[in-house]
Amino acid sequence: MSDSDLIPRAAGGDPAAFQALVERHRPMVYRVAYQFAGNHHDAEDIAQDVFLKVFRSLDRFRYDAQLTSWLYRIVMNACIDHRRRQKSGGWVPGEEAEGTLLNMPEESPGPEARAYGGEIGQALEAEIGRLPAGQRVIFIMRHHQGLKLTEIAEALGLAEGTVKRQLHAAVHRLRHALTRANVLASANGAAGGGA
Amino acid sequence: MTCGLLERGTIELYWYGELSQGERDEARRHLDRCLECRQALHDIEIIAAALAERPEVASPPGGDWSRFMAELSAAVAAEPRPKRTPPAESVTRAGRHRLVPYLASAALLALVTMSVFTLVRGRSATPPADGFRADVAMDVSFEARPPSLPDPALVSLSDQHFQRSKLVLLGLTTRDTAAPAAEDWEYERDLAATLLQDTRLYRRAVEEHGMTGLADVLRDLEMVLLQTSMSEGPDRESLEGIQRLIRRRDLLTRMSVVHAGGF
Repeated sequence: MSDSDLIPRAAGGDPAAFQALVERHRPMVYRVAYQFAGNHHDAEDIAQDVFLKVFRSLDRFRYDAQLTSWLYRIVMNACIDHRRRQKSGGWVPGEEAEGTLLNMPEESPGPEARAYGGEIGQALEAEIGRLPAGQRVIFIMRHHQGLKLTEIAEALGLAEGTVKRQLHAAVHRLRHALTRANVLASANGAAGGGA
Repeated sequence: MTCGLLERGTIELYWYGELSQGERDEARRHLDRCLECRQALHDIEIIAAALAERPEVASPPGGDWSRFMAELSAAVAAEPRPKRTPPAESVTRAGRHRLVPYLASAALLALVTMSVFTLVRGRSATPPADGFRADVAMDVSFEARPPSLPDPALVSLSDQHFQRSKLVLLGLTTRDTAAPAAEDWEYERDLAATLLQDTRLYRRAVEEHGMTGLADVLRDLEMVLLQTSMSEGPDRESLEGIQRLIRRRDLLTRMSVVHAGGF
């Protein structure tokens, strides 16, 4: 049964139709949420939030739109909301915050994330975690989802120029953070001094 | 000194394959003679290669969705079914959140009705002297709905939305980009996020009414609110970009005109 068949049934209160929609789209939602959050705990929170929002909004879904595009936008907004809630709740300054974070397993990358990429991977993971939410979302959409800038702009309802600037800012920050950590320098050295 | 192409993000766009053929050829020629850009391109390749090793995780640990689905079912069961009419009694904050689309539509109706009423009644009235935009008023005047007085509470809701939106814009335009204060920026970002959904609903409804002038104002407002709510501060670059957008679109003046001319 297609999404366009399931949506009106789910909006009409058919739990089986809603469950079928969730089961069909949960891998995509979870994948994006995990890429954003870097751990299962937050990815599950975000995915729950997404499907609750979908449930609340099904009757307002416009049938001329693609469900996946609509869902994408909800996921990205949920990622940003999640980050904002984290920042506003219990963030403590300075060394205390660092200590809190180091002792907070939910905030650490999951085992899958920790396993990748060696020194560069670790430094990247840390810096991606520090990117502003908007930049992180756009960076993930481009790098991990492989979306074109026009598609990202469409999905997020942003001007393409804004997407370009945010992506540029994200890459700029990553390059500089890695250079500061001397990771790129050593990688370039290992690669024989660059292009 | 940083190369201009690198500063503008052209090298990243080259790597992402987002340049036109002509731009791409030009960037390739530039790369042949610019060491800094070649180095940046190489850095991006290293970053991309490392990111390619980042795992794709598309399910909870062990692929076990049972807990996730159980929690979702419980959360959904606790949700009231979406209602098309609002309850008569006062609502909680969470309840109000669910009623936002209704309230927004109702307030919009008030906005449209009030605009038409004001314009029909005041055809001969002197237009605002400051930056009056005729196209906005013309769009509103095309509405042929009977001019009945809207519910004052709904007019007040529309009014509050516009006032708060203007507050965000004023706050943003007066921020010092050289030293943006984190706490102020935070306030505007939070308020922008709160206003965004209603603005979007107003804009869509206005578009459906064919009021393109007002829709343009709301679309620009929506863009500013979205960019503001997505920014993390204090971020000088984002703030400057938003200030430029507000200035370029003359948004504060246009909002004042719409406000003064209708609701």
